[in-house]
Amino acid sequence: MKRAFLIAIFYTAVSVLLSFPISYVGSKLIFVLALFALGLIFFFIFRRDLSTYQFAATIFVLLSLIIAYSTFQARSYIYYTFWFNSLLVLFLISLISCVLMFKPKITLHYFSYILIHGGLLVVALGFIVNALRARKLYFTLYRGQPTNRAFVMRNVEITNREVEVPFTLELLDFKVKYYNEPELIFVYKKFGKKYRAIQSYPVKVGSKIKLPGLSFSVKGMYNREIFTVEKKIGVVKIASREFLLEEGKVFEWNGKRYVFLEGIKVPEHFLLLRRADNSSDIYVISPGLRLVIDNMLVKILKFYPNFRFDVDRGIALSDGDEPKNPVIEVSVFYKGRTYSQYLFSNKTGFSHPLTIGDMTIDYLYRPDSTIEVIEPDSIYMERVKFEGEPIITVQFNGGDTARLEIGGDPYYVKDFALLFDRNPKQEKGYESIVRFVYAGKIEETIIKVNKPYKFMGYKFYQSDYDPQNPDFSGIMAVKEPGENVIYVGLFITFVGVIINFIYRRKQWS
Amino acid sequence: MELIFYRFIAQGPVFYLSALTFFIGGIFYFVYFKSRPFLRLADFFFVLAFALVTYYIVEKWVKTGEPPFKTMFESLVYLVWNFSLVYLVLEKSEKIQFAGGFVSFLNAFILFISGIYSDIIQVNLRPSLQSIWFIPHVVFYFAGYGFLFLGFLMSVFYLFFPERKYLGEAHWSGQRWRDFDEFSYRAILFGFSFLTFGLIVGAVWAKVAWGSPWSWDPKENWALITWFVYLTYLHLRYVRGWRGKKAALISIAGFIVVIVTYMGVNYLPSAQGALHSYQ
Repeated sequence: MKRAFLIAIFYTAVSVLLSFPISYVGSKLIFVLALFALGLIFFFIFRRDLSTYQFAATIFVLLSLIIAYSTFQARSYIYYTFWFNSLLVLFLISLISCVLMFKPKITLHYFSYILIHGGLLVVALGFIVNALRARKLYFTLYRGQPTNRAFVMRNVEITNREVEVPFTLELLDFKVKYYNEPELIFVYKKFGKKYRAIQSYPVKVGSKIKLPGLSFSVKGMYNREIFTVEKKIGVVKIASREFLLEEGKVFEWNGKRYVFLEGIKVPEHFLLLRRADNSSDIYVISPGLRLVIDNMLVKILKFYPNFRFDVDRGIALSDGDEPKNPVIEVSVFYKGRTYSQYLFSNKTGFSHPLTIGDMTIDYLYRPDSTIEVIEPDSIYMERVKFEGEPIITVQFNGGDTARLEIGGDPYYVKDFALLFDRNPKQEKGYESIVRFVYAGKIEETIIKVNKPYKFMGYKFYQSDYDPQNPDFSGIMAVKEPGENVIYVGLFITFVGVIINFIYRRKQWS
Repeated sequence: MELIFYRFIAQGPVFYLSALTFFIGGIFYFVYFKSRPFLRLADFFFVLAFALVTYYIVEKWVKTGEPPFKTMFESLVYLVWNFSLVYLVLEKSEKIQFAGGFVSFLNAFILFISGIYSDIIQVNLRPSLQSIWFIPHVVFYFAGYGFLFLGFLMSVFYLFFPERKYLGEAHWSGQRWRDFDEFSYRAILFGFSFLTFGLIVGAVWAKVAWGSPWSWDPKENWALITWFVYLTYLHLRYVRGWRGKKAALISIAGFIVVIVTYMGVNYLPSAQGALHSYQ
């Protein structure tokens, strides 16, 4: 044991010393030659020692300790250093010398041992071939931009070096697929001051949920509202050209502004819609109107020329008809929820626009606008469907019932809280639809995770994507000439282990 | 503790009754040390608990349509299933009833504390796990863990009762495996073989999913370390003076490494952004 340990330490010391000049030179050829030479020298000098069980055990422990140490660093590069690879070589020459020591016998025992060790040698051979000859490229693809350039990868890192490939690759489409998001009832319980999640339950009418101190059943589940609204689109002629106008939406052409809106002659009330991408639109409105704006149903409820909120009675009213403080009340139905608000035209500290997701809606009262109201030649109807979020009712053991809305406030009962919500969004798959063009030949295919595509000796992998940019996909191309050698080696080892099972069964029974 | 208890109960009656049944079975296995007839009762509870866990896993699989080994919680339940299956297979053929109490209590304990990891939301199969290699990879590894656990248990027994004769007395007579060292060796040989299969399948899968059979990922590294430790154990058995106590210590160390590979890897600094870790 001691001798094996001393040889391993001696070898490690030599390889660590050698690694300084080798990393200084930085040549791959010298790196490989030095590994080979060092292994060969030790193989011939210490062949007998290397083939012992003691030596095998020593190298296993040594490698284990080093690898274990490496995992305690956030990012470790030791796997590519000269000294670490020379230890892998030591493992290999120990394996070779022990295979050479086996005396051939026609027994199951011998067969299993030679297959297991020989199989591992073949696997090692495959890895060596890969280390010397493998090529890894990384394609940064943008939709509709064919490329024949790729970045060279070293191990798992993408380098700055770009190369040209003899084919072009184009991203036709990129899709991220998501799982369904079923509605769930989340149960929380108070521990100390905090509510902690206990479990979520799928919603099934009639199902009973029992926990110590809480028991309830799902009584009913219904969608709050489902309805379709017709959006009016008018065909108008301006200076003998035809345009399609949405009802209420202000249209600008040749420095003039137009709108069509039934039952209005002089535009006074305006809604200003701002979207997340900074685009905005102006709409002409009037009290009592229903408008479809993007995916929202906007209802204009009531106009207050001189708005005042009577705190005592809890109602809004108008002091006279003079538009001193014009306010309009709107309600917006968006993604199953209704948002209502008083919108002020006079911008004071009180007033703020209605915010829905990353959109804002603001109100302006301008009786002196220059917008021209025009009559459309004809009107198309476009149907827009609105679907309300589901609501459930639950009944507790004592007979009390509660209504829970998706994304609504939690319902507190004793030390528990119930929340009705959807399962979070989870990615199901990433798919790149790509086109290869090589010497006039065209191949189109889908590359998915776990489904690489083979083309010109390379395997193409779905490797990266950008949640911010749906037009991007990272595709890795790998050519590993040792791939099949590794498979053969793994299979031989597999067979060896099976034969060893059979041998042991015979021996033990 | 209270939180774990609530999450444990929230898994439903099949789940908590299986833990309870394991616990009762465990008590009877220990009573059996004093009075032999209790073995049948203990076995009955153990088999019942195993059936409940099987039902829980199968029901979840059928309901979700996805193999229930995706999360730490699910894998712990599957681990219990493997511990139980390996024990049941070996109990009759190798007469290892004396270990029944330990296996039962451990199973009950794992099911209970798995509440820490219980999945509050519904976790779906991630894209990288959608592969035909996923199930064999997990099945081989967990079968291996089952055998290695028994090997570990026998090694611990060996440290306490190194004398072969001890178990030949009284009501423990008639058992074939009085030699804990030898039993441990056989369990480890089986377990190690399964680890090797798992590693082989893993390499083939990694090539399909990530482009290379080996990426020096922390989980891969610790799986390799586990493999090396048991290789050390198996090779040193041929060296004079390395059976018995020393072998038992390596086996115990090996199982500790298994636990690190299985659960500890998620906490390593290198696991940030790693390919393998459980959510």
